[in-house]
Amino acid sequence: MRYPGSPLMAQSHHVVLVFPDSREAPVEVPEGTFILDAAMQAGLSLPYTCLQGWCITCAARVLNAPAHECVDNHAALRYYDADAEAGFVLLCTGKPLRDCRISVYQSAAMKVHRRQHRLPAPLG
Amino acid sequence: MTNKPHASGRVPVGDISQRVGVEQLELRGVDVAALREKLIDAAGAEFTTYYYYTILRMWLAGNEDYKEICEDARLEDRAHFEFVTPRIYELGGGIPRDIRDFADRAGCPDAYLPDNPNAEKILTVLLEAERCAIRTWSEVCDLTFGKDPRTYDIASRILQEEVEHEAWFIELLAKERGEGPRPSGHFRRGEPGEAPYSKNHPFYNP
Repeated sequence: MRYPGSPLMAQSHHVVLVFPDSREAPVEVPEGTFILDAAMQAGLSLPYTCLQGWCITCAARVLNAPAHECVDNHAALRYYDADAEAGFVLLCTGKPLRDCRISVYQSAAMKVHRRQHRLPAPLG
Repeated sequence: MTNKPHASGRVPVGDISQRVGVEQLELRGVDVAALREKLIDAAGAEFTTYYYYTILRMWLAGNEDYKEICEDARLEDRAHFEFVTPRIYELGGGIPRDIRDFADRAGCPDAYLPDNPNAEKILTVLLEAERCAIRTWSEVCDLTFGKDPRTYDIASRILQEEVEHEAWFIELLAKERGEGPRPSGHFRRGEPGEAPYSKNHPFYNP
């Protein structure tokens, strides 16, 4: 149980992952932990390849706020301001900054976004 | 009328605009266009890794044992690029005309020389590059298993070597970090870049 103001409150963020079939999976993400790691620890199966914030296989989209307010993606090796402005985040290298709702399986959409902005991305 | 069931098919006699080698994959459920794109991303990663490993190897100066092993991985990654690229063309695709486009779409991160490089940092970059390659080729194996034996064979041979590379770098990193031995279980290659799985084919693969 989480109590307002308790140390636990400050040490984790409540992230709701929304799947393409509208199913929702809540995940508690400890401070400083990557969202993908926490989701996998919770037994969820999500796509990923490089685990270094490059290949965008794990791409997701923040639903409830500007992406840069919800997820810190500084650990990603290739992540652009335009990605954040469009709401995209990379779960493998993204740490939540607050409670948030995130739509997963967004790799195809992020590839389209990168192409539209003439930004590099794997195409396969 | 022939009674040989494989003597003809959907591709008309003499038609060079289509490939039976592609048609048969599609009939077995392979999304050939998607597979082709994934192979180009993977080939781009092998090529860029070969390039960046050249720099990393240089900076392992003084660690001659590490340098030799990095050289094996470097040359074998080049062999992987050589090995998979013909398959992309067979599937009706090709690699980008501009090498910048090729590097941009590589499926794994650029293996940059780390800031203030030392052996441990360089070995960490090498290790993570191999791990990305393992995940990539495992995915290609999954996409082709039981449906596209030719691509599967290429991917699985490359995967064999990437798994060995990971084991090498774990062994060296354990030593460098003083964490005690974590043996790879392997001895040295016969020749630099021997690529025992991806270069033992009878066709030309320099």
